[in-house]
Amino acid sequence: MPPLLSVRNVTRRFEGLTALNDVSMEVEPRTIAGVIGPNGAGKTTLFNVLTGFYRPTSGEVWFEGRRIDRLPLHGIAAAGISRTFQNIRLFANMTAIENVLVGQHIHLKTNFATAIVRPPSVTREERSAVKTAVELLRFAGLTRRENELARNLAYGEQRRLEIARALAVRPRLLLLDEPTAGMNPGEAAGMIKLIRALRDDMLMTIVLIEHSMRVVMGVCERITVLDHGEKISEGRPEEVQQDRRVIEAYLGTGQIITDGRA
Amino acid sequence: MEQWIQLFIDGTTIGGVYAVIALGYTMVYGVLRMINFAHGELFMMGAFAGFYTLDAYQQHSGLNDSLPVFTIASAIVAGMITAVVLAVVMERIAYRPLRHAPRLAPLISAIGVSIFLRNVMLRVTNAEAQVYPRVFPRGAIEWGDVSVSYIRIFLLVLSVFFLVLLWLFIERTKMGMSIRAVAEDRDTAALMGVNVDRTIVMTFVVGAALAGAAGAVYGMFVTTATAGMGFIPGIKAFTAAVLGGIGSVPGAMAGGYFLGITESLSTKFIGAQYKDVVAFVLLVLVLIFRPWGIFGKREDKRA
Amino acid sequence: MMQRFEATRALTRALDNANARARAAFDAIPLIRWILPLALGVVGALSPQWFDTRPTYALMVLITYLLLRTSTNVFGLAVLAAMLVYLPMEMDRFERGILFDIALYTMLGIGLNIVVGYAGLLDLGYVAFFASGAYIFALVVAPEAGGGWDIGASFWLMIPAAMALAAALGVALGLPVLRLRGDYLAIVTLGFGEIIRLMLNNRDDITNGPRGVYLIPKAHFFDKELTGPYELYFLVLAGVFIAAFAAERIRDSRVGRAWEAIREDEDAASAMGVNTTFYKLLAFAIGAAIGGGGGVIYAAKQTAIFPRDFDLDVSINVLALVIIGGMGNVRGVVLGAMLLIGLPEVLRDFSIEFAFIDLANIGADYRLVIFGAALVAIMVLRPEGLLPSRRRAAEFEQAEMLESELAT
Repeated sequence: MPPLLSVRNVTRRFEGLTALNDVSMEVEPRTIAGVIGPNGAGKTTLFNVLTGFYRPTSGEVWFEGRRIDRLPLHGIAAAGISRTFQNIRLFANMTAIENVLVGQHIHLKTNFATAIVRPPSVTREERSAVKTAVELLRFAGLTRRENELARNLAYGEQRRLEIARALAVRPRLLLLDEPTAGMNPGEAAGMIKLIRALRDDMLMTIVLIEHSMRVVMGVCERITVLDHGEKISEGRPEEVQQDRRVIEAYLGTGQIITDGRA
Repeated sequence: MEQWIQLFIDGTTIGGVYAVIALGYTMVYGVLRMINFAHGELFMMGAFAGFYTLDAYQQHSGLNDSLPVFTIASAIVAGMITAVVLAVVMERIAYRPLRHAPRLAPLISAIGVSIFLRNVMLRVTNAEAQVYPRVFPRGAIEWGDVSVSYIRIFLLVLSVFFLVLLWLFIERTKMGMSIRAVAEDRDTAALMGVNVDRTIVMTFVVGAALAGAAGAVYGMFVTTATAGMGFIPGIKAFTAAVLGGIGSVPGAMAGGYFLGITESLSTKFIGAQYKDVVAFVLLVLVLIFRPWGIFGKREDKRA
Repeated sequence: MMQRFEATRALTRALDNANARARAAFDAIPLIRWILPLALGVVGALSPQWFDTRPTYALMVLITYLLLRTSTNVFGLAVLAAMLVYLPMEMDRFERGILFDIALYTMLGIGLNIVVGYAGLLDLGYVAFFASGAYIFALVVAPEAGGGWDIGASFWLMIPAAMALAAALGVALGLPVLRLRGDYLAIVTLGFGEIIRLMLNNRDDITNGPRGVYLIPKAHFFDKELTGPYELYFLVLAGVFIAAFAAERIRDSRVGRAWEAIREDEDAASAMGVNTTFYKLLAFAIGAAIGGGGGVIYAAKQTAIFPRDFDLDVSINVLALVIIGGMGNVRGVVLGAMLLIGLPEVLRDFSIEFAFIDLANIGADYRLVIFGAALVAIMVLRPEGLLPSRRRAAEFEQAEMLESELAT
């Protein structure tokens, strides 16, 4: 099977600083891939390149046989990729359900003229959108929280809402930026269950950035390790875990690789 | 050639005024990320304070004639004090309570202060222009076709004096360092033991003192004070601050002179009625194409 | 650190709850909700001698505030509509002029609210669109206009034409400035507004310069000539209702959600596939169209317009009324216009005579002083405005209903 996503020799420089240096990786359909690395390794920069926030200085990103690194920011979602953010970026003053409705934006057709006239088709569309949103919220474990403002949700709930919102885009690739960051072990376990369900029940392909080794080792099938903007290792979790360069990179930061939480 | 020199000198004179006012905008923006819409009104109040001082001397003594140096100096000081007192009060009442409010609230509050001050003066003066007593000796230095009046020279020298003074304050004093620290990162500055509230007040104080002094001197230059006189110089000084990269002190100075000279040239080559258009067009162009300022350095966005 | 964060969040939630309870209590007292405004309305309606400016006005503000605050059901709207139609009949020319201004500014406020309140784009040059509507209309229909462009166009055709042109101007001005954020956008738009005014002033050849365009023909409604503020008031009123209807419907749709998402977090909105450039331009265009429409009506009422009618104060007034009323909802705009445009006029004949203080005409003389101070006071006391937008009830109910459906 051809890879769903392929990152080809991507380099990204900021004035005087190379955040990503000649990084390549491929993601197969219906797998959970992980990107790990110590702080400042370039994980988030890689995510920002994948989601169009940064243009690569050189190199290419291909998705489903289509080059996506030149797409405008909003074109990424239309191409079939959606994401969550490391520092939760919900629409804080909108309700949970409205957040998910915004996620469905590209699948709805109402424009300003039909919004004013409001023909039956608009009413129907809106009703089915709300129904989809309610289902997605249920899937993400947010039953009966629909009308809560996003900023009033508990931390773990906010992370789940971000995932529900990302799913509303109906992506074929989901990028999760540190989905368990700041969670207590109970919440993190719930999140891992949710991520597995995404792949098993919704047949989603997932790439996640993680700091917590326990999460990555437990859930990912393939792992890419970055350090100082370069790919230093790649493979199945147990392979990566044994890699000398990985151990060195993490030892250098004082983290112990087998015991996850930093 | 002489014509060019004349235009250049005229431009530098008014540019110095813009530069001095612009410092207030840029410093307040630096520490609060807020456009102090009422800053132009501080300039206007400075002009009135200068007028009332000189007028009082005129009515009650002969000092304007016998000791003009003293009366001019006291008019400038009066302008500074008035503007400073107002600035402190306005910061306390209208801005500080809104430091954590929605983004637009402080802007509207500032607009309120501006309307308030303008209309207070409109009432006080009965909407009439107040004419300054003549304290400055007439006459000019002639040099071929170039003619520079004494008051222009005074304006020129004084603006440079204030700019140097401010430069020393920002770079050499502890308070100046606090201001730079708060502008850089308010939270870190607070952690380092900088008294943020006091620093913000001090920023307003310094900016207001400059605006007040500029108002008094500008009033002597144009020989009138009106309630509406703060608006155009205010917006132009803001343009100057933007030209230099808002938040940057040397940028505001350079921007002021640049705008003054540009205006002076455009008066000659495009037409006097387009003077204000030129300033606004410049403002718009810079904000669109180089929002970090003509002289500023681009800050690269990093995650 | 984390604990403090939690504590703040808990506090916010407690405050939200308290606020909701207070509102519920307020809504539950029928005396305040209906009986009081109704009684005041009846008294007001039955005693024409009351129709001296101030009490009428105080009454109107009070009634409107209560109606807007508590609900917008059919009954409330009917009372409001009846009041809006009946009141001007009892008014003199001066008062009708004020009413016209309030309605006109309400319309402008609804337009600007789309830009500032819905899409979160701070526009300080809204007057540009108002001016362009007025000038496009005036230059085309006034025989005396500098260019003598009289093509005898009908007023009713000119409204949509001017709106379309204003919308195009909105897109043209919006395009280069959209990537600017916040304060910078405010200043650039302010610059645009001033440039337009100065050009109207300086391009004598087209606009007749500071002498203005005059002898603008009257509009006709069938055979009836729409002469003064009274007839045109109803036209603006219609404009207000259409604009309000359109604005609210757009807000409660996919388009409105996209705007709100952009306002909340532009990057996250893009990541959800929202074309932020398109939606920002759309907000500019719709806002500009409404402003342009208002300009046409204004020119028709004035019959002579001058560049100085379109200075920065117009932009600032419109923005201030939107923010004071409470951004993001039409009810706030209505209230804001009544307070901001009406109050200074009504203050004109307000005076204080108390012991040795005799401030005759304090209202006329100090109204703008009071206005400036009021702006500050309202911002400091209620930075979110007097009528902050409430969450949409309809969507909640729909969601709850669906959920119970799914649960069974």
